[in-house]
Amino acid sequence: MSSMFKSITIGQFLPGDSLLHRLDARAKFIALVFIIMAVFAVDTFWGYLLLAAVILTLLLTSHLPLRYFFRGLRPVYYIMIFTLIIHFFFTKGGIVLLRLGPITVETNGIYFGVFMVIRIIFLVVATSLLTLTTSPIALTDALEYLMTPLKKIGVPAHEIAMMMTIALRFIPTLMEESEKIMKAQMARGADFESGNIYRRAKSLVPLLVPLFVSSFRRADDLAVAMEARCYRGGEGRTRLHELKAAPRDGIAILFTIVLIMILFRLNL
Amino acid sequence: MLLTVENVSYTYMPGTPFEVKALQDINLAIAKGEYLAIIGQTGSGKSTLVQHLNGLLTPTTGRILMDDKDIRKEKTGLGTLRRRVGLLFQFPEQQLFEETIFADVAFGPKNLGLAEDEVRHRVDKALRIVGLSPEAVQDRSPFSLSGGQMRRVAMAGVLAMQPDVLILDEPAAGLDPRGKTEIFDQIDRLHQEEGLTVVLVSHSMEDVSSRAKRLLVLANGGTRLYGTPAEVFTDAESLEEMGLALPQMALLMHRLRQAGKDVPTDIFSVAGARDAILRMLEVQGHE
Repeated sequence: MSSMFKSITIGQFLPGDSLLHRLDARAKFIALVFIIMAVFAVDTFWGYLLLAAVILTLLLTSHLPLRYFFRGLRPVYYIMIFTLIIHFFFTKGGIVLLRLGPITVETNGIYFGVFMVIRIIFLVVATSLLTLTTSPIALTDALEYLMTPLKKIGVPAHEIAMMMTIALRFIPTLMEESEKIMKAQMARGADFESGNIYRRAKSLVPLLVPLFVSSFRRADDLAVAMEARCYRGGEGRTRLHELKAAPRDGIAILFTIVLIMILFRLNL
Repeated sequence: MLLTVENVSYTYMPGTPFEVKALQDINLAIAKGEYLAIIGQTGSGKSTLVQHLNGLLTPTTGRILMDDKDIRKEKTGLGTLRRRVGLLFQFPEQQLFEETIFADVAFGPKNLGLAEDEVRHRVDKALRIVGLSPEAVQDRSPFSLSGGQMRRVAMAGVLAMQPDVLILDEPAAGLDPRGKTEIFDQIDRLHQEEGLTVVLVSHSMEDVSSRAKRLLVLANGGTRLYGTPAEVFTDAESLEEMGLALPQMALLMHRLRQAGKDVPTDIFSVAGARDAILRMLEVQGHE
């Protein structure tokens, strides 16, 4: 229980010095979008093999500790198993492999189920590669930059990025605080783990009220601190860490475009 | 022995790059009626250690015994342990959540499943102990109080469980000097009058040295010094190396000693220091 919050590690940035770490966040972001497109475009055995090879190479060159990496994916495993089961029983077509009264398992179900799971793996691994090798700050900066054209149609790009930065910054703080308050209430005999749904929901009150109180207070403090340092939105604001594109960033994007083209070619 | 810590080590997030060895091979025995202070810098493992004492954390290796029985093998689970060992976290005013002060202090006793009038009796008593008048405050919202008063309510919330051991993690953090003295005096009274076993966690020698009977000094998750304040303060060098300042008066005595004067080193109050220096001067005058 006590380590409940600490075990959530999906997408938690790990500093490093691999090629993936050094790529510009914007380039990584665009490349990821292309890879996601590639994942949905792929439709042949060789296509899957090629994509698997590319993603595996990226994973291995990122120098991330593999055990840590796959442990962070644990929550996704349930989604995969669920997908597999749904496809096995509800996707029809091909040869009937198994018949249990009205329920049948057919070859198309196996086929689509397995490939769908492989796609989910590709998606999750590729996205976690981005978040694990990019600091949250660089990520939101990149997002702000990429959203800049949308400012013309009234999208508050800077404000959205700032909100994301603040939210990301306070997730660990909130988790730490939840854990602390939870422990404090447990020390007073609170029980968060037993009873039916109604009782469990009710048992969260001693956790949620203090959490809300401190969040509002913290938001207020943060607003004062930002205003005291003359924050007034994105207009004319400079950055501490300028985003700098290098030739390798262009090459990375080009590489993913070539990858998509090959995959479409294989589909023909 | 009321509580025994046996070769306890604890590691946060083992097997990840964020792994931290918070405690390493800690041994400690807390007898009934003890007044112990656990001292160390931020990150030395003090808070981690006290969370083991009421089962909020389980040791990675080693065991915790209550009345010489392993707490993990207890049939009643951790409930008895949590009832008998009250833990007041740092900034406890952040844990208040009820609509009235009465309801908040009653949260613990109610979780124990006590009868209504017993709960009322305990809340009244606990509020009085922390210096609040039940009649005046019990129907008010805890959020209408000042920070120092909120902390007292939180402390009453733990006292209403009527624990045998009271553990307080930095109870005076963020209080003004007067609030600090008040809260420490209350703890002293609980120790003397109610016979409560007290474990005080602090980073300040100044605050606890004159009150605690024994000191456990932690650094980097390991025990560095353990003994009565007088014993611990004789090793001024290693304390300073750990970034822990000696209490002012102990430092003065230490310096006098270094200068070849014959004074005791186990003095922590201004009055005690005055007497010791006068005595020293008197002896010198006779020579």
